Amino acid sequence: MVSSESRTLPEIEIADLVWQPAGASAPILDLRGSAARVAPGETLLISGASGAGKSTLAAACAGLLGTILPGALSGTLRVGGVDLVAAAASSAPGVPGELLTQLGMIAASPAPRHALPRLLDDLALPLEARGVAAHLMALRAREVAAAAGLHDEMLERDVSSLSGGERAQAAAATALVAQPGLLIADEPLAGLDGARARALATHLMAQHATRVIVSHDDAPFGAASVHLHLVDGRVVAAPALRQMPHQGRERQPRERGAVVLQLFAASSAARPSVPPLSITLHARELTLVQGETGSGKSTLLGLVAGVLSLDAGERVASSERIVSSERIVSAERIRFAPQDPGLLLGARSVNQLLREGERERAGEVARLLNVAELLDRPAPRCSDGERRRLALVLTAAADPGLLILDEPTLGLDVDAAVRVADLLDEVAARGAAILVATHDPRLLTRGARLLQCPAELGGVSELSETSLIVRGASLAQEMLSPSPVKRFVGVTNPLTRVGLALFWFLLSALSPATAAAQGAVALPALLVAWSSGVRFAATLRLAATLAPAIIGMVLANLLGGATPEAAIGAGIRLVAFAAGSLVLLRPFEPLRLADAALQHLRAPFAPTLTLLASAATLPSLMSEARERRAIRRLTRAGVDPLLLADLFDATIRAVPRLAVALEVRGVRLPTRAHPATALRPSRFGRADALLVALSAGGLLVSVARILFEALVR
Amino acid sequence: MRSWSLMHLVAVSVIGIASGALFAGWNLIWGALTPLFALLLPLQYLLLAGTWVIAGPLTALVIKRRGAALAGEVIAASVSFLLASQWSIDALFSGAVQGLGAELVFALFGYRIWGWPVLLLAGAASGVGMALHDLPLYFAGVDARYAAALAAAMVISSAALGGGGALLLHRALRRSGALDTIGA
Repeated sequence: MVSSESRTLPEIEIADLVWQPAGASAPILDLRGSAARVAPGETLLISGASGAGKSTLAAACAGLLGTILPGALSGTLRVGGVDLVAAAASSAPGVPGELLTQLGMIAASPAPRHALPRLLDDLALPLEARGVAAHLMALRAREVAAAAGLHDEMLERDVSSLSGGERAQAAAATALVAQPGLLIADEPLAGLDGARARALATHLMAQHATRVIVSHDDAPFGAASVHLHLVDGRVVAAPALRQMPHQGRERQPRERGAVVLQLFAASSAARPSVPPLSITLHARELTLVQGETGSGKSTLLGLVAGVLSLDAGERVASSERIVSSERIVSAERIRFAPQDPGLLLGARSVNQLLREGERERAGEVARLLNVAELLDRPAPRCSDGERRRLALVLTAAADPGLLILDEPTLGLDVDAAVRVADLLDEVAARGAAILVATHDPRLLTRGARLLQCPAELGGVSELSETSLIVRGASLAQEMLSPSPVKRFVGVTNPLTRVGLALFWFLLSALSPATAAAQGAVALPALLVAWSSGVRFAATLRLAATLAPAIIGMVLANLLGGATPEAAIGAGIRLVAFAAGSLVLLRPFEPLRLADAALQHLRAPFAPTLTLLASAATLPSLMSEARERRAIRRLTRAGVDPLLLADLFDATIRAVPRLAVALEVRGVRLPTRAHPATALRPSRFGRADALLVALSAGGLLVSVARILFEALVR
Repeated sequence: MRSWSLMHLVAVSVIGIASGALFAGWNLIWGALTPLFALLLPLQYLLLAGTWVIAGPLTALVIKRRGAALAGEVIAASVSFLLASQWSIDALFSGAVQGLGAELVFALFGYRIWGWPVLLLAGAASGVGMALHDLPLYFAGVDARYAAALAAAMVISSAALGGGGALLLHRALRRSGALDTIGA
């Protein structure tokens, strides 16, 4: 490693900086008239309300604006002597190289901050990209993880199975692993409690680096040399003192009504790190749930709403008893506004989404929230705060029996937040039960019940590690890490298996489409698959799904005038293809395949890692699509033809986050002269030789059959 | 010719992967309907087949760069193969020829013209690729008229669902502002 003490650290100069993202009608960061200079090794602290432009300024200092993130940057911004405004103007393909090598970044929360699913892989990625020797990599990863407060065993876990606080520590470890000279940390303490937050803050301040830190709480970073406080994208001299708003009207305490819904020790396999939760909700009562990020608030809401699958425990909705994964049909008129209003609104306007007979009430609620003129505007054209209120309009318009809201005032100003509090009061007075997850004290009005999550929700705060690990075997892990059972085929190199699958495929494709010829390929291919660990049951399942396709193909061929032999041959060809592919398919390990492709085929680093990281988002993409559909089902009857557009919309909106995660880890750094190194060496061994020999044997059987046929004729 | 940035790499692979999930679902629907349509297979191709070629035109339309159509369709086909496909690894090769068809059309117009005629043509070219790949492999023994009916169904369906579908999806994404976030 480079000795961290001998380097010159970058200096930061900011003046009159203006940033307008592509597609926006006005700049979202406008620092005309302000200037700041951060000397090497000093700290720039950025504070301000959410939506004030803090993250944008941090991204600017990282060199991401105008390079990775599209838009127009003007003014002065120099970091370590690199003119970042010029880099943006010349549309550089990413962060300029001399800055990129020194960059370590903790990206904005609460979006996922990792690029690869398993913590150790994610930690090693910046080291691989910088060509650090393999034997140093694991050592360095362990050292930096321990320094950030993580246990050794967490390295083998999926980042998504860690708690919110652990994820914050993991993000810090990844940012620090390559000993950056420039450290950008966007809300690095989010989700951490007092003691752990102070420890991590001290650790970040002890680094030999020039720091840019975004934090709503400046106390842990007291030693900051330069402090910028932002309001609406502009620098304000001193932090403005926020006064608690005058409450709109006196709220009368109400008698609470009948029980609307109860949850007993409920948990979902989709959220393995959250303990079982219990809660009882009454009509005419506002229940507020507080707790740190990752404590299970959103899980509770999802379980109550019925949009998360209930895999243990019970959910009882008034008289109806709903056990396990059964889903409630909206008999109780349950409405749910998730934290991301986009899940509910998609790309449409409120008026497009309203049901029959909801318009009048929607207008009423919209006037109350001051968004009446936005009801016809497509949601993506509205600001975050507007979308949050529009989601509220949509959910309240149904006059729900149970209204569930996740952070309804996030990023709203005082006036808007008071209006939301008034609305909740009014909705409860109409007889609804309301469940709100919030950090916002402005919602805590008289008559509201406040619960701490998970402590007051019957959740056990001490998690059993074993159950966590067992349940952590999520879809992602199944897809991306080696199968725990090291079956024979599991220890072969994935490249061998890809090669053999191609071999059997080509053999079948080049053989004539007769039943005998295709059978002669399919049979040995199946034998090889079975001998290499593919289970018989798996083959049967595959055959069952293949059967209609085969029958259809044979019939269509017969109808098209093919001879019976050719028709059956076409059908058996599908079996031959499947038989060969089985070897490749089970188990499929993208991570090992990528390792093998990088090391043996010299696959380019950035595209390979991009594919790998994108593939890892597939499970979350699919669960999000499912969640979206479930949430929509609560608000809209029938099928939703535009869901496809929404799915691609969500997909594309995930692109910048992933691109930034890959960029700040340095995936573009390796060159032909300085290639990337690998955490895990990819080798060929005895198992590979055996599998190839088996296939060669299979080929001999095929050839023998052809010879035999020729002889008989 | 404009070069690819990391953002474009991520966009193509993520759109390709989402399309692949769509293809896998489509494979299951196709499989379930096959016995129903066995007597009228060209009709099934006409009504459904075009969806399988949407990834190429869509990724090309989003990032408007050389190679995007081919890469997007191949990535989608690989995901479709790995999740669920009755054609197994052959899905990959179908994807390659279909993506190549669209890619050639975009190249023909210098990656500069992206109107609906070009998109329909790109979809149709994907359909030609589908016919060139599927007919010899799965319908080698059928007579010429039946083969021609299948090929026509593939080309028309690919133009409408693949090319036209990509165009509609792209418009929806443009309207929602999603494309601004990646600067496309």
